[in-house]
Amino acid sequence: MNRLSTVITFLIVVASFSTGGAVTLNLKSGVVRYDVHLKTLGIGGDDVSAVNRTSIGKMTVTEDGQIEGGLIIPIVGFDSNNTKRDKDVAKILKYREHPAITFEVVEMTRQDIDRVLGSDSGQVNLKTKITAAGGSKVYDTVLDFRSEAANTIRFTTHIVGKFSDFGISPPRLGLILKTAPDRIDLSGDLVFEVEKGEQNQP
Amino acid sequence: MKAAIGFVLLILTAANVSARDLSSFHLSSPPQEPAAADTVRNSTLDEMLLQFNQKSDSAALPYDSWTFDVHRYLGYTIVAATLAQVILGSMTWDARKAGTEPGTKTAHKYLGYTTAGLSLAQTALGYTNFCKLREKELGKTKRTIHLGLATLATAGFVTAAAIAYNAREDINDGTAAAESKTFDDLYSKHRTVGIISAASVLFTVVVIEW
Repeated sequence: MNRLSTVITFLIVVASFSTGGAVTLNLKSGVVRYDVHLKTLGIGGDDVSAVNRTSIGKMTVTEDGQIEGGLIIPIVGFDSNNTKRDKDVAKILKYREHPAITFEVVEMTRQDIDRVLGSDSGQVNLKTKITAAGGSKVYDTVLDFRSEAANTIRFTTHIVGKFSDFGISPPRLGLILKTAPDRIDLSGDLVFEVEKGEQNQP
Repeated sequence: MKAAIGFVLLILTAANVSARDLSSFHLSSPPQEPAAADTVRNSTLDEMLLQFNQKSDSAALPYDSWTFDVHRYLGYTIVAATLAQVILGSMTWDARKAGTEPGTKTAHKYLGYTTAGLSLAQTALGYTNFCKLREKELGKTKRTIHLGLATLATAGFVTAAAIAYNAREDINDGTAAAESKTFDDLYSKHRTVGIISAASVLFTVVVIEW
């Protein structure tokens, strides 16, 4: 089934490029998650994580191999099972001025793009820009991909970032009770639908 | 009185446990300057962001409302009032059992009405907040248990107040004496319902803060 879906996806890609159209990846479903490790009085501590299932995503691969669009992750969509904490996190991320975290691919080779769109599964390297709370940072990351069904590709990735990358100080609870190191783990598990279409249609 | 001390210890233990739970994040120092942003424009993403930002609820936290803040602090007030009520009620009960006139009777009575009134308002706010979060799947079981326990507590407070009121009426009318009702007969239900309500208040806070 996977092989069949890969073939169908590949044919769509080939047909798209041969007719001069772009290939668009529309986010179908997926989860973006953050993990923060907090230390109590500098030792041990808790792992805090939140999931977000409300992302909006669309990426268009143009004929010249550029990737436009990206992923919009609404800050209010993060759910850590603690509404007060979610509210505090949203404030830290300045959600009123910057209501979303964005994720975009800024560099990926044409060869890797073809592999993603034409292979059953694999790994590619790319540079991605994450923008949050008014700050941006470009990360080198590894993207795992796998064809799920006809015209759908599942992407998973894990990025280790820092709060200071976005101009944010690591959070704390109390004066010294709980503190977080300057590290935040971001991971994504996203399923995109591949479709042939014109580029630059948001 | 021993029961009251035990209950207070239970409350303090629970409060300590809930304080250990990470309930909020705070910035430890003023934000630093953001890292330099990449200057390459992504017009498709810009347009997507524009559309996203035009949506009225894009930056609206479902729980960022005064009803949640009031509910939170009113909840703590009710916990404190309940603690005080348990102590006052226990002292009143012990004095009555010893055959003396309790000095805590009036305070227990009026604090009881206050607690029942605040609980009614709190429950109304709680139902409002529950409806606001109805779309939010994560934590729904916890919120439902919180709501159930809080409703039980409020119903219990009102019932306890009604039982005490009726008992007082019976004593004033002389009905109690005519029927040879003892103090235990008149107030044991009030006591039981009060203890169950107080325990429900404790557990509903622990459930939601855990």
